[in-house]
Amino acid sequence: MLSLTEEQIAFIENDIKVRGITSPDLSIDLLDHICCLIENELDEYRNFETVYQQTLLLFGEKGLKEIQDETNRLLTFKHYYFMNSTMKISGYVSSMLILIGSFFKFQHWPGANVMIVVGVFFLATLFLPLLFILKFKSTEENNRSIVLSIIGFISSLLICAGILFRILHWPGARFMIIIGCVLLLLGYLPIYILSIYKNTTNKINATATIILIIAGVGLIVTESGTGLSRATSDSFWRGVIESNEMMNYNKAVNHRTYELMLLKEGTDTIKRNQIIELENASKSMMEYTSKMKAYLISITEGITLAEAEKINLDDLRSSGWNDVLNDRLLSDDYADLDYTAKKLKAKIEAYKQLLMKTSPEVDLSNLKTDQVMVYGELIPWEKSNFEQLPLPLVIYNMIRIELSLQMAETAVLSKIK
Amino acid sequence: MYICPMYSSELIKGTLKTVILKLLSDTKQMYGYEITQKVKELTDSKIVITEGALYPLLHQLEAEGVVTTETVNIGKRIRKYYTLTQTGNERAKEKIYEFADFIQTMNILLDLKPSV
Repeated sequence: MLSLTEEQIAFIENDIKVRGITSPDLSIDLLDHICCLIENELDEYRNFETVYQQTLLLFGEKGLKEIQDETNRLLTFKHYYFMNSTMKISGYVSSMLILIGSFFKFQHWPGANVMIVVGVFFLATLFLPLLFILKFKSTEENNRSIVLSIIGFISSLLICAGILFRILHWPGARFMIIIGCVLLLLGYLPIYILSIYKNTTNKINATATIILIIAGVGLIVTESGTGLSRATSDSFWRGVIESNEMMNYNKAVNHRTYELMLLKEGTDTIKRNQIIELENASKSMMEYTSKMKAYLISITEGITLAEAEKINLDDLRSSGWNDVLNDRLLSDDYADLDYTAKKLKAKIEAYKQLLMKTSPEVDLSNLKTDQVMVYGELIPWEKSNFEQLPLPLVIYNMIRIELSLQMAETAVLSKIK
Repeated sequence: MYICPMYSSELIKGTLKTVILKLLSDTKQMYGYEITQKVKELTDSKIVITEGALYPLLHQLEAEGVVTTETVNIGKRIRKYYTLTQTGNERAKEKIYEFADFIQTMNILLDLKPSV
């Protein structure tokens, strides 16, 4: 057994550094270890170079660097198992919460939003970061997989936050969801597909992932979404505008009728009072419905009520399916608001009472607010007019209701005459 | 008769920590190369601990406070000696007990008969 010279030791020390060992602590260990190995092998017949090269072969293909990587992995991964189980549990819990919450929402049971919010919150703050960290650490130092996990993390976080914002009716939700989806489709997916072409293992798994991503993005986009197509939405709005013109015409005709009736000579006081009472009730009824339309436009378009009142229906092209609209009109959470489907129904019923009092024999069947038969199922009047409809249809239904109110008003007026 | 140069890596992986703790509790202080040689010698080369497994584990044990190190200058190079701490000694006992218990269970489970 021969001892290594100082130069040889210095050479090995430097070579360890060249081979990528940056931790001084580990390089002390490795230097001593390699020196021991060489000194054991070295004799008069073999030179240092050969023995050194042979010794290095003992460290396997990836060599010394692998030892450092493994050390780092062990040191940073002291909590690996804890993180792993936290990730799994949070993943299960949040996905169950979201699933049950969605079911509740579908059934319009209370507590749905709370469950979804808590579920998405855990998903975004616990599951996703942990998944990202664990995935990031476990992949070999491969640029592509690092980029992949960063893009995946950011896009899924954006989508989660977007969904959360949407449920809480905070602004910017749609923007976040769209950016997240675009990132996922144009950033994550191409790199992911490229990487499976290189790596043939797990192809079925990878194909499933790709399909799930595309389907998921599709679902999110439809759900959050662009809603009706341009052409459909435009034709709805045309219907809205025409009905609105019709309604304004009726309004003018009825107004003129009131004037003429009040001017007519020989009308007794009882009749006069009836006419004035009807005119005032009709006016306040129509004021309520037009305020309600303005309110609905203001919340969907994100403008003030005053702006919405002045808006020209011709300028509106909004087509989105709007959960806000659905919630405000139908949810019990918003029962205190002035303009809900329930309050509208109550106003219509009160108005109907007055019409019946004025003229009992008039047919008021088009002002029915009972349950409606839809596909063999009885549905409350509120739901049949407002549930899960985009803005143009909600406004259209409002105008339809206004038109029936006017028709009833005209019918009663003609009886008074 | 059945001399294996090495057992399957899964078997070694699970027991490596126990082996190192046991060696360190028998011999007060050891350096890395010494540990590999000792294992080789004791097991008749049936178990060879690779550097790739040994050093990461030693550094992890050090980070966990199970072992401490002491450096000694040997000519131009430094030799790092590993020693068990108080917790290390307890950990060694636990690990050895756990493994002995495991062997007994495996004996029953696999219906092993003593080879001697």
